Amino acid sequence: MASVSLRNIKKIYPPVAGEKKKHLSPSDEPGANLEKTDRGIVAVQNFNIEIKDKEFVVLVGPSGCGKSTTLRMIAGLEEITEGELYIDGKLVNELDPKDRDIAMVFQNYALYPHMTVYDNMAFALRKRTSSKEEIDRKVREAADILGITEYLDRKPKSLSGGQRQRVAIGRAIVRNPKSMLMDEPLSNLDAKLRNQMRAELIRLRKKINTTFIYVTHDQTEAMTLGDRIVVMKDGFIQQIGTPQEVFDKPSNQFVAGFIGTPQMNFFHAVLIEENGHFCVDFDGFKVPVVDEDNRRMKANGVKSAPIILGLRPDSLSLVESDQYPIAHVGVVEMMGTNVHLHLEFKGKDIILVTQAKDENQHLKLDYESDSMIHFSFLPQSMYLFDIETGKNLAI
Amino acid sequence: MMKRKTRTLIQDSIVSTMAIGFGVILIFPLIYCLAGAFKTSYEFLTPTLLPGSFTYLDNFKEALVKGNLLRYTVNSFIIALFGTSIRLVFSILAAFAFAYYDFKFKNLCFFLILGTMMIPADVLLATNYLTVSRLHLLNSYVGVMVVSFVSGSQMFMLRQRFMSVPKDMREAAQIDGYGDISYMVNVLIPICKPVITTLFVHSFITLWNAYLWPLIVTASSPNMRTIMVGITKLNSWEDENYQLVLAGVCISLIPSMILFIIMRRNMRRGGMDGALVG
Repeated sequence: MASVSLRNIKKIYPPVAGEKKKHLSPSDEPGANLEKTDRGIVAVQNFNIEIKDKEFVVLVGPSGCGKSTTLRMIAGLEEITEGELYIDGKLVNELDPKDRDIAMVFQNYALYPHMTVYDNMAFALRKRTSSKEEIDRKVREAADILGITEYLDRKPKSLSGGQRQRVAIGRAIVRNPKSMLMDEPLSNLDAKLRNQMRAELIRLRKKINTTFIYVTHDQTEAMTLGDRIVVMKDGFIQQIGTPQEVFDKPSNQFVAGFIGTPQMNFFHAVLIEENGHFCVDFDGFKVPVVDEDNRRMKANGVKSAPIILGLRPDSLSLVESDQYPIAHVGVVEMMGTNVHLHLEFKGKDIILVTQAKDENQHLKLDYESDSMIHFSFLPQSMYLFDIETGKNLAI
Repeated sequence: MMKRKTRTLIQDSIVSTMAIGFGVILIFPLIYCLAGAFKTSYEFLTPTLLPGSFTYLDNFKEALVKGNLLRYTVNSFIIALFGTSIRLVFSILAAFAFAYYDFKFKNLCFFLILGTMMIPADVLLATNYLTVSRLHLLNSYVGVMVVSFVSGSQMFMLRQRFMSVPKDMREAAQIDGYGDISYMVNVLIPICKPVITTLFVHSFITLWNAYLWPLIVTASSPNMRTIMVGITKLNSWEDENYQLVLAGVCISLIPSMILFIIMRRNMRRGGMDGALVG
C-alpha cells in the first residue's frame, strides 16, 4: 500500500578482482551488450518510474536486461550505485530490506525446508513480535486466500510445485507489505499450471490491496498481469505504458519485436514523400501511410529514407491475386484455431497467422509446404521504424 | 547363455559372501574385546574365545574402582563434549564468514587455514606443550581441550555445505527481517543439521579417543587423566592384566556408541528437500 518511485537509478557492478576472463565469445554471455565503464559493468541506468499506490507494474525484457537487478535494488538486496529510491515518499536507499516493509517472492521459492508451511508463513511475523493469536489469524487468513489451509502442517518437500509456489506467495502476503516484489514467480511451473497461477494472481491482486512489482521475461504474463509494463533492454528502459499502448504503439523496433506472439515481422522498405503524403515502397508495391501516422510523422520531421517496416503476423492475409507479393511456404504449424505459416520472402523468414477454418467451420487445407502464396496487408497495420535508431517514426 | 535371474543371483551371492567376510573381520576385535572382558585371569590364558560366564563382572568393577576409570570417564566426557561444542561454534562462525562475506585477503586467509590441515598434529606436540605450559594450563580441562578448539577441516566442510545453500534462502530471511546471526540460528543450522551432526559425532569420538596429547598434558596429575590414558595404566609390565584393559575398553566404547545411535538418524542426508523447485 505505497507508492514506489525510482529516480535516475543506476547500478554498476564493479569488476571482480582476480576473476579470469572466461573464454566465451562476447555474444554468448547474457548482458553482453551492457555498457562497460572504468567502474564496471552498468547493469541498469537512467531508470525512472513513478509507481502509484496499488498499481501492478511488470518489468519485462530478455535475460540480462537488468530487470531482476532493478527489483533487487527495490528490495534492498543490491546496493543502488546512483539515484534515489522512494517508498511511500521516504528515501530508502540506505535502509535494510527488513526496514523497507516489502515482501518478495523468489523464482525458486526459497522456502525454508525444515519448517512446516505454517512456520514458513509465520517466520516473518514472529520477528515482528506480533502476538501468537494474531500470527495464527494472519497465517490462516493468507492460507485461506491461497487455498493451502490443508497443507499448513506439511513440510515443503511433500508439496507439488504449484503448492510450493502458493506457500511462497503466502509467505509474502501474510505480513501485508507496502509493496510486493515478484521475481519470475511462475517460470518454474509447467505451462498448464502457469496459466492457472496467472489467473490466480489476477484474482489475488483484487483481494490484497498492495503495490505489485513483477519481473518476468514472458510477455504473455506481462500483458495479462500488468497495469503498466516496463520493457527493458541492456539496462535501459525502452518503453513504459499500459499493455495496450505497448502493443499498439511500440516506441521502437525492439519493443515491437518483443511484445506479441508470434513475433512481429520486419522488412526493409523505403519511405517516400509524394505531394505532402508519405507512402511506403515495399518491394515495388506502394502503400500509403494512414492519415494519423502521416500527420505525426510530419510533426516529427521525418524525411524520405529507407526504413524498417513492421507487420504483425496476424495482420498479413492470404490473397488469391497475382498482384501481391509472393512468398514460399516453408513450415506449416497447425495450432488448432489458427495456422502459423512460416514463409520465405526475399531470403527472410516471416510468419503469417491465418484462420485454420473457413466460415463454415471446414478446415482450409490449402496450406501445403513448398507451395507459393500471395499475401497482402492493410495500411493501418504498418509500423514504421527508423533504420538506424529503430525508433517508431509515427509516435 | 545363463538366465539373467541366475546370473544376478550368483553375483549377489558372491558380493554378499564377501561383505559378510569383511564384516566379520571388522567386528572380530570387538567380539574378542567383549569376550575377554568377562574372562577370569585364568581363563584369559586358555585358547577359548568365549568366557566361562558372561556374569563375571569383577574385571569391570576393578577397572572402575582400582583404575579410577569412573573419574576418567567423566574427564573424557567433559573434554570431548566441550571441546567438540566449542570447536563447532568456531567452525560454524568461520565457515559462515568464508561462505557469505567478501573481505580483503579472504582467499589468502582461507588457504592459510586449509594449510593447517596439512601439518600433522604430532609435529606440533612439542610447541603446543610449551604454549600450554606457559599459559599455566597443564593438568586442566582447558589445557587438554584448547588445541582442539579450532579445526580447519571442519570449517572447510561447513563452508562447502553453507555455499551449497542457495543464496535466495538468506535473502528471503533478510526480507523476513532476520539478520545474519538469526538467519544462521533459525535457518542455516537447521538446514545443515546432518553435516553438523556428523561433524559433532566425529569430533566427539576423536577427542574421546585422543591419547598422546592428554597423556603429556596431564602427566603430573593422575586425577585429570582421560579414559584412554587411564586404560593403559590398568596394565603394567609387572602385573599383566589384559582382561582389565579389555573391560576398560568396553567401558570406553559405551558413550561413543550411545552418541552414534542417537545421532544416526540426524546424519542422514536430505536436509534441503523441498526448499526449491523440483
